[in-house]
Amino acid sequence: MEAPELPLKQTPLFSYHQAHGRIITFADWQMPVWYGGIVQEHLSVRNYAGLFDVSHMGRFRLHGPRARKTLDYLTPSDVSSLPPGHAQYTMLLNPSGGVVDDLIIYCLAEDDFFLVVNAANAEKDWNWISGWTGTDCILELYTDRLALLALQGPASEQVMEKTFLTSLQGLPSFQHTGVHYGGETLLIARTGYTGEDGFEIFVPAHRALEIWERLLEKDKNLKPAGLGARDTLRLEACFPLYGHELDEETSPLEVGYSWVVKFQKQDFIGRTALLKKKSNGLPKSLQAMVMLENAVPRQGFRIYKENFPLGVITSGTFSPTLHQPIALFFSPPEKVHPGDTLTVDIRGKMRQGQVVKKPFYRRRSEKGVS
Amino acid sequence: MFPEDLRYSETHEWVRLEGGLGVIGITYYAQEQLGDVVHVELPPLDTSLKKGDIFGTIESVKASSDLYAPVSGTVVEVNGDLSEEPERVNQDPYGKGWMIVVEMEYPEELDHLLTASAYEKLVSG
Repeated sequence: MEAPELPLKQTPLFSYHQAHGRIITFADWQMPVWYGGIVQEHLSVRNYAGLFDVSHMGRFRLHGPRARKTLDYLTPSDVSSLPPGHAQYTMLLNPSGGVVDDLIIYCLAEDDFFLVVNAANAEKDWNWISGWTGTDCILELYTDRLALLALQGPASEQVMEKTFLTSLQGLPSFQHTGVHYGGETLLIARTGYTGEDGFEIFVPAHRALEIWERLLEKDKNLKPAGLGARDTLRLEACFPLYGHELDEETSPLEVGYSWVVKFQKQDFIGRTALLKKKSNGLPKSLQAMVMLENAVPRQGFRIYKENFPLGVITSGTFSPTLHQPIALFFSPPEKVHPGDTLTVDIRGKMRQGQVVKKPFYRRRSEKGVS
Repeated sequence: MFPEDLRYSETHEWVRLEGGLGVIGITYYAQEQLGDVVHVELPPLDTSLKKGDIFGTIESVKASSDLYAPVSGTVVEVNGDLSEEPERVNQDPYGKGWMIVVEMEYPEELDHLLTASAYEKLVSG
C-alpha cells in the first residue's frame, strides 16, 4: 500500500483567497500566488501598501530557563543579549556551517521566544530544535493557532492606524509591541521581507478573516498581494530565499550575510567550520545580474563569462520596478565584478546579462531602520 | 471567454479566419494561467510553419511557455505592439493581443481544431 497523501493545508484566510485569487500549492499549503496580478500587486507594495497572508510559515514558541542559551547555541548571532520587545533575523546552522533555515526570533521575555520559520522547513526545524529541548526548554507549535499577516509598503503606518486606532510611528524596525484589538492583544512587529517599511501581525486564527477584511475595508488603497509579488519584491531587495540562495551546503558568509555571524561568541553550532571558511577563503559568493535582453532567467539556468562556466542561476524573475529581468547566482570568488557582461543559457538560446551591485532596489526613505 | 467564431488548439492557441488568412493568438485560459505577460518572442516574417511547430515563446513573471502553430502556413504579419506592451495578451487575448497572421497552407486544418464548446470542455474538465 502506498503512503496516503496528506490533504493540503489551508490558512484561516483560504476562503478569501479562493474567492479572489489564484491558488497554487506551496510547501504543502494552498496559497494565493496572485489576486489581480503580480506586477500590480508588487507596485502597490512599492508605492503604497500591500497585504500578504503568510500564515503558512512555521511558528514556534520556545520558552523556559534554558531557552535563551539554547537559541544562542543553535544560531551564529547574539541571542544572549536580545531584549524583550526586539526581533532578530538569524539562521539555524548545521555543524558544517551550512544553513538549516533562516528565521526571525522575537524575544517576548527573558525566557520566552517566538520563532517564525520557512513553511518548507517547518517540520525539519521542529525536529532539529526538538533535539535540544527538555523540561527547562519547551518547544510549542503555534502555526495553527495564529494567522500571520504582513502589511508592507511606505504607507503601512497610516494603514495600520486606520484599523488598529493606534499610532505605530514610535515602533522602530525589528521591534514589536502588543496592540489591543477587540478584547485581545495582538503582537505586531516592524519586520518584513519586501525591502519596504511594514508590519507583521500575529492574529488568533479565529479572528484572522475579520481583521484581514477590516484592513482592506478601512483603506481602499491597500491591496491584497500574493506569493508571486512576495518573490519579486524580495528578489529586488536581494533577500535570500531558502532552497534558492540558502541550503544546507551554503553558509551565511557565501550569501553576504556575515553580519549575522558573531565570531566572538564562544560556542555555537558551525563556529569551527565558519572560521575555517573565513581563513581558507569562500568557495563561492552571491552575485546579482540584470538581463540586457528581454528573456527571464530561471533557477538552474547556466551562466558563462566568455565561455567560462560560472554556475547556475539561483533565483530569477522579471523586476516590475526596473522593467527588466533580474537574477541572483553564485560565482567562484573574484571571477565577476559589477559591469561584467555574462551570457545565460535560456532555454537553448544564449542571452546577454550584466553583473550589478546588490541590491537591485533600495527604498527611498529608510524610516525606522535600526 | 471563448468566442464562437474561433478555432482552438489543445495547446491553448486560437485561430480566426480573416479574409483567407489565419490570425493567431493564445486563449483567455492560457493568459490567465500564465499571469502577467512580460515578453513575447515572435518569428520573423516569411517564416514557414507546419502545424505543431514552435513559433515563439511567451514569458510571464512566473513562467515561460512555447507557442505552437495551430495551422500550417507562412507568417505574413507579426504584432510589433507586443514588444512594448506585452500586457495586451492579458488584457485583450483575442483582440489587441493577437500574435501572428499566417497565409494558411491547408485551410482544412481548421476543421481539425476544437470548437469553442469543445475547448471550453477541455479547460474546465
